[in-house]
Amino acid sequence: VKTKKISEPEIVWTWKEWMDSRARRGELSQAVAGKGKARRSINPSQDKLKARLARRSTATR
Amino acid sequence: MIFSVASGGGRRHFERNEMINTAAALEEIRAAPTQSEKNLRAASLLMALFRAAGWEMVVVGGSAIEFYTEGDYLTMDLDLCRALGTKPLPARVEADVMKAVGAQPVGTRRQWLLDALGEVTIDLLGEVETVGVAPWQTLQGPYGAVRLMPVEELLVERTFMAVLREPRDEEAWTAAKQLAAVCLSGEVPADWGKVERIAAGKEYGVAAAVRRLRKEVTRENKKNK
Repeated sequence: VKTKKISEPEIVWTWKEWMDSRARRGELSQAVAGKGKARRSINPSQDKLKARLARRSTATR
Repeated sequence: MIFSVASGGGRRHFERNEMINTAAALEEIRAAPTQSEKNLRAASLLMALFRAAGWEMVVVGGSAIEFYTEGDYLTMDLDLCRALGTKPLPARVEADVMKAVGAQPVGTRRQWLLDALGEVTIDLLGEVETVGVAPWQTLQGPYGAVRLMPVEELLVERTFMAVLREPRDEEAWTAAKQLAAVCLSGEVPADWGKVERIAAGKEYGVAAAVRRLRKEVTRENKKNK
């Protein structure tokens, strides 16, 4: 992982670096997630969206 | 499929080396083994298409957390903001990019569904808000660069969200802990001094909560070893 300082500093990952570190990052984050692990942040409007889409596709048939 | 998009006054077709094979990319997204990888690949494709149209986008919020922590925190949306200092996205450009990947609008022009992502919606938000202290992290994705909100700022923002509520919002607190875990281990490059500075600043004012968070993560990591 390289750090470059141009006008706006940023850290650059290659795809390989990112993919290679996936398992380790997953382990680390799961280790502190405790009993609430594998949580999903459900968008509260999701059900409404699905219902709206279903209505729309029915209406256009 | 050759991607072309309205740009400025007319429709612009890109030269061969700028072409983005959206059909092949969508196939790869569908075939990706995890939802997190599908989301990441989709972010890379969409950001490349917006870039080709002249707009730089960044991944923010729960989507950025998901990418940094590798999928344990799964969001149901892919949050994309315009980069700092970019002009507002015309509806026509949004629609052209979304049409190029076969996404369908869901009621508003800012929310789209892409079949390759299942139920995950693509949310096109406004200009990104940042305190601008920490570096952006850029992943050289399969179809183009994916720019992620600075991890230091995400961590402080999620801690802030957790302690805003009484009792504490455990989901936000866990997300902050997960980010802290990948940062404190060095797996994701992060400057903890900047985390503390952002936390202590008047934007958030959660220095004590961030100190508690760090202690908790350090203690749990020792216990898990």
